Amino acid sequence: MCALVDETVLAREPKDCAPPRIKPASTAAIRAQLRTGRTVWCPGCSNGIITRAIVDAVLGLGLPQDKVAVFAGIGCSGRIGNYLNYSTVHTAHGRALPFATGAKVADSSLKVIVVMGDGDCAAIGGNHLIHAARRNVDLTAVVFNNSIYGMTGGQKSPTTHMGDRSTTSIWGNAEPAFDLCELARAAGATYVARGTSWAYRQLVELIAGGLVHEGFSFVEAMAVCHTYYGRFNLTADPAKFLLAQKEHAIPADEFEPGEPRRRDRYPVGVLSHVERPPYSDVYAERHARPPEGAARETGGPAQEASGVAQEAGGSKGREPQHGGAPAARLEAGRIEVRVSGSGGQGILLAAAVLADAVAAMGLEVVQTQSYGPEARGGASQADVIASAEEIDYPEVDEADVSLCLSQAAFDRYAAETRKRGLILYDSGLVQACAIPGVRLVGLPFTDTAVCDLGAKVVTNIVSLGALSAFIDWLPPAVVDGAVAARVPAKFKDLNLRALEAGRRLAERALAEGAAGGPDVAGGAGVARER
Amino acid sequence: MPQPRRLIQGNEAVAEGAIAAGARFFAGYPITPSTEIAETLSRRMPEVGGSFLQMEDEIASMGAVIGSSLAGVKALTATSGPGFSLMQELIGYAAMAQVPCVIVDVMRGGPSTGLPTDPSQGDVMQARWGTHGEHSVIVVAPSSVRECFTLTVDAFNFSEQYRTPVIMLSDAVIGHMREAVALPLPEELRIAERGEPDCDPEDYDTVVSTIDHILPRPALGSRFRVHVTGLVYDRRSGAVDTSHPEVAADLGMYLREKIYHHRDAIVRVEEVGMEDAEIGLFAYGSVARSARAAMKAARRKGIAVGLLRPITLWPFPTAAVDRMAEQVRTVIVPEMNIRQMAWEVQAAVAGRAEVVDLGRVDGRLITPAQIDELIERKADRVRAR
Repeated sequence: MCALVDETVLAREPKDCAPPRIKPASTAAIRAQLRTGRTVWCPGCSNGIITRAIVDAVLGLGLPQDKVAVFAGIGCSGRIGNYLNYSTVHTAHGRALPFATGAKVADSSLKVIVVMGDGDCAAIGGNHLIHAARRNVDLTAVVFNNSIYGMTGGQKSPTTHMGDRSTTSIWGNAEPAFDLCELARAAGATYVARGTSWAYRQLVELIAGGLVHEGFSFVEAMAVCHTYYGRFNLTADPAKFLLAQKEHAIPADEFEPGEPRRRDRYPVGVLSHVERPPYSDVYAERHARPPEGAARETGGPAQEASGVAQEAGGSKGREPQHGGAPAARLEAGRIEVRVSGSGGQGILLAAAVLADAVAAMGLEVVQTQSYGPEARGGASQADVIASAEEIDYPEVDEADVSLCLSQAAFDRYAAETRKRGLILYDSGLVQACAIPGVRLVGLPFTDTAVCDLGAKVVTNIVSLGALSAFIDWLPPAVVDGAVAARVPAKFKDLNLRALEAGRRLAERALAEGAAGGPDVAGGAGVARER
Repeated sequence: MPQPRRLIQGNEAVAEGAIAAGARFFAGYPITPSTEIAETLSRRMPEVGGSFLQMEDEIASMGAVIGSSLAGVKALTATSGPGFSLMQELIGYAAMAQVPCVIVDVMRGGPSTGLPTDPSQGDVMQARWGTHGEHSVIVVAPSSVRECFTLTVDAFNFSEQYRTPVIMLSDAVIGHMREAVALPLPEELRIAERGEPDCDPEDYDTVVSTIDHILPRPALGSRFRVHVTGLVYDRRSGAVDTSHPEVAADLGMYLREKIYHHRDAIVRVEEVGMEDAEIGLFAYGSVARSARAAMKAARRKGIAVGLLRPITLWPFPTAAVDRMAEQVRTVIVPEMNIRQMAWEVQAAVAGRAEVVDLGRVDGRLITPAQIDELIERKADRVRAR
């Protein structure tokens, strides 16, 4: 059974299950594809047979030598790149598949062959194997499976069988072996085959079948390591080992479904072949149309500031459009604003809009945020620092104006407001306690959003409207422009009405303050030196 | 016409810088606080004909980046501490096999899973020495959103020019901060393009890079049928050779010298107020912003403080520290780690001035007030003398 969930894509029947017929090339033709005939492999090792089978498959299919790129891992099989006269990369242990994935995705004209040992493929690179199979990039993996770590002197591998001896399992291996083909098939490999060093012609054709297949193809080549595996478990004679392979290999169609695979009995041939579009086709098709759904809204590139905001700020420079504290007061230092609430209340959007508006005034601005591990809930904060000068220290230690949209945010951040600073809070959500030297103004942001605008989601924009009214050098038109640029067009009117509703709340509070109520005129009009 | 100013995040500026530098491949694994780089490039790469891959881990990401670069397509990855640790294996491969690529590490508190989303500068030495074995590396450290863009372009240029992995050490403050910036226009940028060696493929094995003439790496599938390896190889033939000490020595020295010999061209620092400084601040990345604020505050109080801000951390800016050591009595090194760069500064100052470290590992940015306090104490001592 395939372990992939999206099985619908696997429904198509393969065009042709039979691997191509290949006429083996002459030894001279094979040699022309090699850089050298001298290898590090032991006399009698089957790695040379499998290497020749790869070359025969490439020649038999007429693949251009310059376009073949071979990525190999580490170990005996990994040395193959030194010998093949193709573009070759001797990667790191277990990492041949990621290297090959990057190269093939970057340049689809390459014909990519990945050579791995059983350690590369099933131990250190096991994770890469299952994801390469799932991803279905058009690669052909050939695993030289000798069931042992040869280059390091005969330690057990993930394909060493239960009970097998090795230098790290002298009492007999206590772990079962992986069936690599089953693993690859379950992980989604679309062409899976097993051959032996004994049956050379079959091996060539199985590899050729992998090369013509579009998608991730996996060929397990049963290898002979008489030096270690054979000597410890079977026979130290390579010829006898090869003959044993002949006995052990059972044609796939004679192998009973569900029959357990054993050291001395395993199926060979094409074990699985399904058609599923390769990664590059799916990627190209998906990106041919614009993205849909909610995910496109998260993160991503910053929106350009709106034309309105650019116009209002860009052409008028630092001249205030609005009464109150002139921009000149900013030039003495900086103004720090903190917007806080819980995750999901849109505080980041409110801060981003405010920062856009400050930028549109031609001022320097830094906007930062910090949030807890919760995507929703918890207390999170977003800060905006405005200054006429370069802003060095980018953090807010004590805010001039702090907007709190939740009790948790008030409890955590209210104390981080400077003396003579201002805290605006949602009177429907926050039970405020007095903070010495700080002015507190509670306004019904959520109630206004729900009752007057019928949309709780714009609570952040209502509160932004109120907040901006306390920043008297920030013209309403600039804030309107910044909001319009940040929100989707169909919600523009709603958000502009929310801003206006927030401003009215603030103006009422300011009027009451002027009439002898609590003094709320402080706040962001006052800059300070830092 | 200049670009309009717009509010852009440090991580987004890295992504845009990579596109501007000609990168057309990104592979990565999401990790806070670097994720916006992956998110942005997952959208931007298809728009510019590039590729985006989310791999199964950071090891695979680094492998895919090397694979892409070997295929001739400029590539980058982005991560934070835990992922940076996983990448060390293949950063060493890229150094050994001389594969140009860019690794962005947006530092957060560690070790291990550490302090997600809170800033740190704890990876400074890991960037230099994280992978095993003797190797050279170029590391840049942005201090502003604009620099996130421009230094990403520089990082790609360095990597192409010197055929080496280049690491950008950003941090959670710089990566997540938004500033209103006008990004440079394409015509204002110098971009090092990947070329082909100017020789016949037949002669390729006989043409050897020198320290002053580093041949570009030919792409896989080009006329040059190359063999790429992480084993020691003969620089002359490219062939693996692990049995001749002189071959290993030649390669090892070359890998170091091809960068160190050019350090005057690579090293970049910003020096502010150093001419008359009695106290010098050595600060990089986000902490340099606090240091600059502290320097301004001290100067308003009449204390002669200067700032040396390394923009490239490695190779180490020895010449600039030399100048500072001759000028000041005290060097203060504020950094969000414990003495990682301060040791290096102390070694370069070599007793000519007092070196004082100011470390912080609680995930909070060092404040100007903290630095100011130390400046005041040191200034009193200077006056007392």
